[in-house]
Amino acid sequence: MSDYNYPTFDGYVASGAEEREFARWPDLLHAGKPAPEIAGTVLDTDEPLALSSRWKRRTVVVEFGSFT
Amino acid sequence: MEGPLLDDAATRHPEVAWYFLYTREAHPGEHVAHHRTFDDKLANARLLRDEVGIRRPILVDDLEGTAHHAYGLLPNMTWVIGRGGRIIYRADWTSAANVEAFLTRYEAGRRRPPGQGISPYLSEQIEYRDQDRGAFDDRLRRNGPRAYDEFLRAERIQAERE
Repeated sequence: MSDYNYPTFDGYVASGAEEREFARWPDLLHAGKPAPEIAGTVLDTDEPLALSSRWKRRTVVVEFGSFT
Repeated sequence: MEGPLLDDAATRHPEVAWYFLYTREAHPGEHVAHHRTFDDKLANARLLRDEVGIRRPILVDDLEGTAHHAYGLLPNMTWVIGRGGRIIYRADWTSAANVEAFLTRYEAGRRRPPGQGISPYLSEQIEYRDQDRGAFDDRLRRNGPRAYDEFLRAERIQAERE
């Protein structure tokens, strides 16, 4: 498994990964650019969904997050 | 995390499609652990839905975080995608008030008939958001005592770098 699902937050910070991710974000993807696909599993139905099928016709708001 | 506040905004703006994308656990602990399998991830997403009461549809990213990687991996971003697939708003942290204010302005502009002297423009700001450290600490402890202790250690690591 990659380090994406890190097991400890302090280990993730100590590795420098968090600092690198925050540092590169300002130069990533700007308003006006095509949105990369956001595909996943709808929790309530267990069905796959690609949000590009939604933003064809409507504005779409996506909050990224977890428990904290 | 302003999930419930964004749920309220979603209720006021049904013309927009709203989603919560569940990513990796930012602060894994004994009770809400990091994901080893996709089933782990689904189980934690259900717990989040049921405990926090997120009312928007929850979309669960894959185990490798493909969508999260594509948008920069920060823990609580909000992105708005306009009709046709262009990014129209991005924020490295979520402020429900800011998202809703933007949407209100954007949708009002977009709906004005052509020829009414309106034109899109690009802007970028740094703004301030409310921060409730007590509530955040409660969520860390919900994930497990280890999550709280690790966050304090991480803060010391970050302070030593500054």
